[in-house]
Amino acid sequence: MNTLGCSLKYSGLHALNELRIKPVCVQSVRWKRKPRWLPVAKSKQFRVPERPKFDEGETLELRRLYDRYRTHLRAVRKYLKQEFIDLSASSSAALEGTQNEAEEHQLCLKENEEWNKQVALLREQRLLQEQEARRESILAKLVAAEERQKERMEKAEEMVREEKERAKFYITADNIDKAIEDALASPVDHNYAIDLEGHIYRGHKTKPSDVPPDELEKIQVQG
Amino acid sequence: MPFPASGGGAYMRFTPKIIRFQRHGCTNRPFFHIVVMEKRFEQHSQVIEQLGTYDHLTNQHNERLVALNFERIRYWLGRGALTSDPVAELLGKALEMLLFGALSVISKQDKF
Repeated sequence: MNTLGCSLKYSGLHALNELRIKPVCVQSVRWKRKPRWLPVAKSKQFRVPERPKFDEGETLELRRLYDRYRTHLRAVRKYLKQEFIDLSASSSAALEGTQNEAEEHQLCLKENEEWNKQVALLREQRLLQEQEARRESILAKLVAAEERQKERMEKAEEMVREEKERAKFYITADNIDKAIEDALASPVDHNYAIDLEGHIYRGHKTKPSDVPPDELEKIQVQG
Repeated sequence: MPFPASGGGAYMRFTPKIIRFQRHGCTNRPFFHIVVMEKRFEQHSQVIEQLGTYDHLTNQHNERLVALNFERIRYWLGRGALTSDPVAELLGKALEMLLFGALSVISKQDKF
């Protein structure tokens, strides 16, 4: 209600304030300030705001303190900046460091060369030993191979000798007729039969009754 | 948080950097990281580097715990990073530690 009253007053509608109406459509306003487009209130029209007064001594003191603070801060900042420059890569300390590093690198290279020489000596010895060992092993292998070859040759010669001895009984074109005649003269029958008791009856057309019982061969059963 | 709290933000040349608090923690429980980041960036954007922490609430021994990486703070101040007012206050309290790496205040207290 108060808000509404205010707004009505600002609108210059004082009479409506007397009606004490309660319109539903009115929204509550949080900050009760006059709208920017309204002129200065009549009560404030000729008001001259008082200049704020500062104690001169206090001002001077504050200024002094603040100046001091700024000076100190600047000093600290300069100090840290100088430190940063000193510690950065292009500073004299860093350059000195790199020089030291280079010297150390040279020393390291020298030491490395010495080590390399020592290692080269050791390596030469080792390589000689390895060479010798390899030569010996190859020689041994060669000897073994030669022996194997000799053995193989001997075996072959033995076979040839045996074959030569056997060649006396070969059937050739000269004696083939005689061999045929011999074969025809002595026929061999490889057929035979076995009865349940294991007796062998040789010949293709042999009957059991043809063989006398004394001459019957019996098959040899193992186990 | 979309970014790692410890930093990793891009370093841009010629832009002002600032050492300031970054509020972590949760509702009614503030916890601050002391970070260096671009001055114009919003508080919770990615920081360049974390320089410390500050627990604003007192612990059971009635202490407020601060952790500061003095070496990196010196580095960043040397590179011309600005400081926010609360951080400047905190660093001012730890100035001797910051500049000389030791507190002479303790030895002074012994005399009294």
